[in-house]
Amino acid sequence: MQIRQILASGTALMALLAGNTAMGQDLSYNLYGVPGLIDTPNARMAPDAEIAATIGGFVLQQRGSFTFQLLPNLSGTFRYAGIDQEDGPGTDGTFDRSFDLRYRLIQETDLLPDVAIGLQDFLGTGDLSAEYIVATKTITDRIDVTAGLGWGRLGSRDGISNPLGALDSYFDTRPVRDKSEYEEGGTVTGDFFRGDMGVFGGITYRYSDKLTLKAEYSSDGYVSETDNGTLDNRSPINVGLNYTYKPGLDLQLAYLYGSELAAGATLTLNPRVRQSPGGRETAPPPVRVRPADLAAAASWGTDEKTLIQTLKDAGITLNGYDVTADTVARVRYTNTTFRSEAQAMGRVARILSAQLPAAVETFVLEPQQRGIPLQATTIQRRDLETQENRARGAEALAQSSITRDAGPSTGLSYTPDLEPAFTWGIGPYAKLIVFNGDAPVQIDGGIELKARYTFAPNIIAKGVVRQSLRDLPLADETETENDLQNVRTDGRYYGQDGNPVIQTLTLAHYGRPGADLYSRVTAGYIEDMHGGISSELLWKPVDSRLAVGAEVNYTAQRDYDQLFTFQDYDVVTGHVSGYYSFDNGFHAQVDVGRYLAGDWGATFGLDREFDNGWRVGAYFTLTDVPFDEFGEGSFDKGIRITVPNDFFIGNATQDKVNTNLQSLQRDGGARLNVDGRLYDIVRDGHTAGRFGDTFGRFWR
Amino acid sequence: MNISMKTLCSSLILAGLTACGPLYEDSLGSTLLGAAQSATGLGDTAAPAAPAIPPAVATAAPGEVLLVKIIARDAVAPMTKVAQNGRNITWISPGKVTMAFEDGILVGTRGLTDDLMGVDPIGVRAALNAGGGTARRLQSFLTSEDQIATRELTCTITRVGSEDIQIIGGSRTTTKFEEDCKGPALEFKNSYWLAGGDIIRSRQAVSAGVGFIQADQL
Repeated sequence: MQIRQILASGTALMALLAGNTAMGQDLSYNLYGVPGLIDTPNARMAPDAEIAATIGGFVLQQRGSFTFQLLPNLSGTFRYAGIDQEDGPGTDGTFDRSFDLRYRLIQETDLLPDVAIGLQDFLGTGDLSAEYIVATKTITDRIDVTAGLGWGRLGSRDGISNPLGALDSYFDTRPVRDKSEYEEGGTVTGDFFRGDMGVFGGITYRYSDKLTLKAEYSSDGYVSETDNGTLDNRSPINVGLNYTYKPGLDLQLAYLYGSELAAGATLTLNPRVRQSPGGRETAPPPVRVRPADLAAAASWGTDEKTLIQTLKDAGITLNGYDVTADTVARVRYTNTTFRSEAQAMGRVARILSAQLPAAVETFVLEPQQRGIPLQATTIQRRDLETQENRARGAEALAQSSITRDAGPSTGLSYTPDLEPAFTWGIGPYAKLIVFNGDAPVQIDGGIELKARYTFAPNIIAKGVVRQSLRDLPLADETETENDLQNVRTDGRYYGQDGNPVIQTLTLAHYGRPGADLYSRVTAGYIEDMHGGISSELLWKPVDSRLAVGAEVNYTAQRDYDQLFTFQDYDVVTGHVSGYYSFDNGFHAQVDVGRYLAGDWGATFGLDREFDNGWRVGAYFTLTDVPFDEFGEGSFDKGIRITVPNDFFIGNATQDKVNTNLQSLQRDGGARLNVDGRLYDIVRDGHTAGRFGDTFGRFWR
Repeated sequence: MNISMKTLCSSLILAGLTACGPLYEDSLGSTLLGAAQSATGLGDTAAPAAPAIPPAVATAAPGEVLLVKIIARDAVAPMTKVAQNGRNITWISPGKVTMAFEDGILVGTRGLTDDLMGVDPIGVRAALNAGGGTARRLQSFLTSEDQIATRELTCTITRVGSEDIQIIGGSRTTTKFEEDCKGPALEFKNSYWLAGGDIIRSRQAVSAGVGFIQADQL
């Protein structure tokens, strides 16, 4: 007997419904890391929110691609390609970064195919640039057929005159861009759909659940590679296979252009599908229902130690309480364990139901982080007693409880802190060093010692000392390409003498200067390259999707030995920031101000956020540094991903991993890396924020 | 930290395997390890073997212990009463999983990876008492995105017949009932074995991730 599972999660349900209309559809990634055949794309879209990392290619071109299904019909790709012997046998290779966008115009029905339009490598040097319109149709359960029209690379084999030329002769020829134009540029070339057009297509045959066979006609002529003799281009026909080793890991093998063997591997992951939605944490204590006889009330004082210990066992630190009103208890606590403040609050409420005198009818719960109270939620004890284990019990409680700005600290009695004020850890670290001499990327690794001392919940000193275990060759001369101070491009010199370095050493103070206001001051060796003082003020009402912040920093650039001394460069930087969390899961941020090299400008960021803590987004920064002065890449831009650790390990934890895939970090548009900026900390506790977004976990 | 701990710590760090100290409990390393395990399937923990029934459980007073088996995981645990909320009794296992039953109908679990967050079993118990009938259920689950998904089901409860079952302490003659529940997004079939009006054994659906439990009232 089975639970017929069309089941529990909204995603599972949607996946199933989508699966019904998509019987027999092949979805596999090509060597460019986008849904496709072998070296050409098709019109398929991955399930919403799927993340795919592909490494694929052949001797001449190795491509590492990261594709994210931004919306059900829109995907974006960031690619880092190594191109060998760029100008013929024996010549140097090059590295090329590229971005793609794909949009599905028509979704497959019984009669119509999937139809997608795509821009490949539309930013940057354009080595891989192509545009295409492609259609893919399921013919039988096992067979998919694809046909497409391509421009750029995909129009370079047996290209025919561009029919768009009938509209405007502008489309007839695609300008040949000189490399040097891109060297300082790398902006949108705008040559889309220009020049000769090619026809490509192919067929996939699904032999089994695991194995799909593919054949394609590629309209990419690899013209320069063929002309300069690095590719023996004998045939436009490519054949290959895709093998699903296990769900989430696909392997590709192909024979390209009659002469080259190619291979690839794709890892896929969907933030909307978690193996264990609930996590591995043990059960919370159940609600204790009060006996009918209210006289059985015990006094708080006798239970204080038990309460502190019970909360501590649940991963929560008691910071203060007020039970002077007979029927209301106000409790302030710090959740150090759960990603969701709603889940932590659910546990605090249940523990209080077992510990507080029966006369207490109302709980006012105030979660706190870094010593700042984030909000105050008023819950009626009766609602806890009646909604536990009810269907829609979380919704009912969300409706009957009231969340406001946190109350004043006056009236709270503070309990002795049982947590050690000093805590530490030793562990490995790894960091990337880019463009150190000839090596585009090097990994430095070693041991780090972290320590933290908490003077008060809102006054925290911490530091990290590192010792590299790698003996990396010394970098060559300082880069003097542009007039800007090398606030980031000197990164490779830091800690290069191999001695222990002070990565960071700071003292931070957090505060609540007024209603809906939050403050931070951080002083010391704030990051590996800069030190000084950083201050921040944030306005964020509990139920507001909008927040506004301001930050002012005065820092000096640290010496390369990363000890206590500074270089002769200091700067005042700062930003005014606006944050807005849209209803549909997207989040926008704009920061306007002055950057580390003294340049003025703005950073624009757009992220797709998932309520389980995942976040995938992109940003770019434009400043008054001209593109040709900025250096390669023209302006700072990148992709950023946040992965909550509990998603994989299942154990309750607040830790997360932030990753930036920057196209290239230069000196323009560089911001100070200061730990503990207010917005993410504060938003975790707000109804218009992660507290509200994860309220489903209240009863978990 | 004593010497051997230090030695262990430093050798593990040098081997690149782990980290030490309170600040490293949930480090990047464990996330990557988790991701790798999740991708390779190597992280699936083996189901615990059925424990021998402790004498204290075997000799417990009637009604004090619930023996619960997660059928798909082949895991068995004796559960003891931890709270009572009206007709709702919450039981806890040695591994700190709790399950709540309302008149013997499972209405919630906590501590399983895919919990049943809450149930409104409207008329299930009444139909059992009446020898059959129809009922309505609302069942809430937690999604991968931390939202509550509530499924509506219509259930038909039928008397299957008399059945002798083996339960700790001997053989019992029971009346078996089946509850066939169907909804737009969820379907399952529960079974109940009643003796003297009490549910002494049941087989009830938890969630997609967990499957069914069998609960024996000892």
